[in-house]
Amino acid sequence: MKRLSDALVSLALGLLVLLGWEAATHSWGLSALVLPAPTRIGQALAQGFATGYWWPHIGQTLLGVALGLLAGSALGFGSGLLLGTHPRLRRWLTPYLLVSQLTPKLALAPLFILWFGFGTLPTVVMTALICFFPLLENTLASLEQTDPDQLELLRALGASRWQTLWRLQVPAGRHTLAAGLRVALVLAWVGTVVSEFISASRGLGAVIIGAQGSMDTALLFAALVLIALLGTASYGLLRALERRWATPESHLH
Amino acid sequence: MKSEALLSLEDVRFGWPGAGELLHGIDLQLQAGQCHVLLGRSGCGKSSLLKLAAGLLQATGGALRWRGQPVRGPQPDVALVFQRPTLLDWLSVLDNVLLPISLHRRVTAEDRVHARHWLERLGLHGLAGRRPTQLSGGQQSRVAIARAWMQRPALLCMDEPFAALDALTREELQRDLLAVCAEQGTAVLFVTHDLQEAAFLGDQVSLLHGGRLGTPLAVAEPRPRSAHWRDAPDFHAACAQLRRTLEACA
Repeated sequence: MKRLSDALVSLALGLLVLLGWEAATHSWGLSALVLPAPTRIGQALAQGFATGYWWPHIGQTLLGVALGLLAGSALGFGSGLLLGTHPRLRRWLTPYLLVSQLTPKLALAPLFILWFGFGTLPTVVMTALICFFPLLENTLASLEQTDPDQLELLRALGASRWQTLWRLQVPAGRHTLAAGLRVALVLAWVGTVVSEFISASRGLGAVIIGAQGSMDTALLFAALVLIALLGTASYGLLRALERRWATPESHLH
Repeated sequence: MKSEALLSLEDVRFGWPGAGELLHGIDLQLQAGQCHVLLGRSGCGKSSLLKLAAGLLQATGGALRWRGQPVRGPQPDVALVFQRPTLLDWLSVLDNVLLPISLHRRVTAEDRVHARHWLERLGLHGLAGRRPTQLSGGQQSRVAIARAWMQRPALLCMDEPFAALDALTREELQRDLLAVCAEQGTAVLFVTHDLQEAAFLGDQVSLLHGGRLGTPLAVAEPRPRSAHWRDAPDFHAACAQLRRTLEACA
């Protein structure tokens, strides 16, 4: 009951803001170029769906986010495991990893156009680069956080290094790893959309730049709404997958 | 007699690198089926001595022998029980108990029967499918002990396994431990700072103080020891003797 009423209040607040926005644009006579009314944004959104305008852009952006997230987190996780189990290699590479991560990756976008041309590839590379670091950091952290008693237990039971990693350290660090993946997902949306600003003619980022060029502010807002909705949905999907993974069915045989 | 010892330590020394020597020349003989209690105050090196015996630490000097052979690492038939239950919280109780098996080979139906037998023997009937976090502290300790029994150990090394439990649960677990050890003929090396626990469990009680092990005191009470023995005058006498010896050290 309480949760339901909280959800209703939350929804009402949102509607109130939209109503205020709608009223303000009319009473102050704001130009649709600066701040279009929510109804006009809704129109642009609906029109895009009616004409099928959105689908290729949505598909392109989802592809960029998904491929970039997948490649970047796999690479970050793998590198984390490698560096976490080889302290010396970690000491050698840490300065370079730091430099590579502290360089704003979005600043590399023009270079990526030079190297990879326009389209999907530069976006995926950019997104992957951005997703790499949170997974690397969190993998290293989760390996370091392993309970020393549990490590000793596995050693006493004669477990190999590989078993210690996969049967203890990775499952024990699952919450930290999942947190890294959540951060990576949020960053993946930033990476993909911004990369599409620069290096794509398709995708929601490209729509935003196009709408800005043609001064169609309602379309720009509509694209933002879509990005927000898709981003939230993907986050929800990830949480659902996590919950499923975090509570594996008990092995009753 | 010396050659028959299951575990023997001769002039064993140990120290952490750069921290000086912690144990100076430990001598200890443990026969099969015997329970030897190492008693000492916090931080006296009891746990390190236990880990040396379990092959988890390397002695910096002296000779450590398991069944007459020098100890170079963990032995499959030496089980370790930690101060905390140290269960893997993402596995069910049953899978935790099966861990010593599943790390080395495929778990068979027979292994599961065996694991369930130990869970029931330790009073955990019907809890095999639970997660460790759903159990009480005492139940978690019992799971850790069931896991140790899955190794069919000849020696059980226990590091204050009951220290965090309430008095009644602790006494129940001590009683059950003695019963199973007697049944399996398992030797126990038991670390504690609790005088009563030492007197109740130990055939021999050694005091560890200042990095040296005192002459073992024998507790004469024959096995099986019942819970009623705790109320008997000779139990109190044994405790008092341990206390005097401990105080004399300090």
